[in-house]
Amino acid sequence: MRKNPFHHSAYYLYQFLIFFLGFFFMFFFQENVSLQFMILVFVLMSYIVIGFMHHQEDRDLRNKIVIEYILISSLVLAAFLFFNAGRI
Amino acid sequence: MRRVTKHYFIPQEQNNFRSKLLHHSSLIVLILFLFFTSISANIVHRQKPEILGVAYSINQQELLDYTNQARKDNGLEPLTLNPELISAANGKAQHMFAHNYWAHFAPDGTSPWQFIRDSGYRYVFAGENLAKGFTDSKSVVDAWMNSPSHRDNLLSDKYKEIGFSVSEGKIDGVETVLVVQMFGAQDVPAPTEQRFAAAPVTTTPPPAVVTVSPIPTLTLVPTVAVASPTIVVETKKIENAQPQILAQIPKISITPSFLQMSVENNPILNISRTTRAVPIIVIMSLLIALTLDFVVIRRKNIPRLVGNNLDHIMILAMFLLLLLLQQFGSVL
Repeated sequence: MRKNPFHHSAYYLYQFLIFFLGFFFMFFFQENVSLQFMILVFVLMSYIVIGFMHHQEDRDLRNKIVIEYILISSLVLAAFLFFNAGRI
Repeated sequence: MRRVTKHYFIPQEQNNFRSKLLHHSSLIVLILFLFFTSISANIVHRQKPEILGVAYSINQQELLDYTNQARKDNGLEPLTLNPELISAANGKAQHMFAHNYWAHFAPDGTSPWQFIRDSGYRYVFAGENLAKGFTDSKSVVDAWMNSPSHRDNLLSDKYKEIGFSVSEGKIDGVETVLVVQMFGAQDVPAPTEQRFAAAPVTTTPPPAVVTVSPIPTLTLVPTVAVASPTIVVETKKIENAQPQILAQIPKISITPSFLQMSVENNPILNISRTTRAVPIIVIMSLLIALTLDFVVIRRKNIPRLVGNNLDHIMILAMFLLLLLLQQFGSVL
């Protein structure tokens, strides 16, 4: 049976709030790359934890999914470092 | 080409119903590329800035032209360059580099007005705008115009003269270009002899009193009677002085090269443009692949064991928005 992708709306709401606040503060502190980096790490950790909780509730949390979340987070981090090359 | 694009962006049998760009192997390649390229770029940027550096071109004449254009557009008189104000702006810029700060008031309490007084400029009104990290003159003036307090300074009819400093240096260990803009209006009536002729010694003109309004407007208005000692002393001198004494007041001479102040850097590769474009393209490509993957799989109703696409789309979209909105220059 196909799952509704929008089920567990609460998870999406939490994620949205954390991401929105995190990126808002990153924008606000755009002069301070170190602080931006710390906020980004916090946002990415929240993204991974909430993602795991979400999949755990669906009982489909597997290694492959864990790796996928970690890879997407690492990619965002690498893109951030690339974007700020010359400022760090 | 079309097949490759489909393979990387659209889930189909050939890519095991998951866009190839979203496969773990592709993600690892992208991460390694971004990570090692950023490290290499940092190394080359530090050791060979003439090859990979920040391209910029800011000069005093352009800053003056853009400032006066903005004033003209708002029905105001153009400002004229004043050597003392240029000297004051330059003093402020060097002080910021030497004492490693980015503010109107130095950590030791030195005010912007101190630099103006030290330059020999006798102001009634004065103001200061600062900018750092910009790469061209127009974006500096545009940023000031987009900030209400800086715009007020730029479009104030109290100011008659202006001075700029454009200089390179390090603040907090980061190489940057600082632009200091000093505004002013002097209290000295144009022909000094006429003043003495018209106003006998017994007539005492009101003392030149100034006050410093709080930042960020940094405007000196003659409303509060807090006298600047320098200004008051100078006013008394003028009241009691003979023309011969006035002639002895030293004038600061400015060399022509000082007036043509500008900074320019033209590396082979512009690091700011390259480092901005690449991550934006990578994140946008991933977002397209994720969205297509989400839509196609929903339509075809194919069961898969993968992460939640909406989670990924949400974080990548917000991160992309941040990259697009982030500015490297700032004004104060």
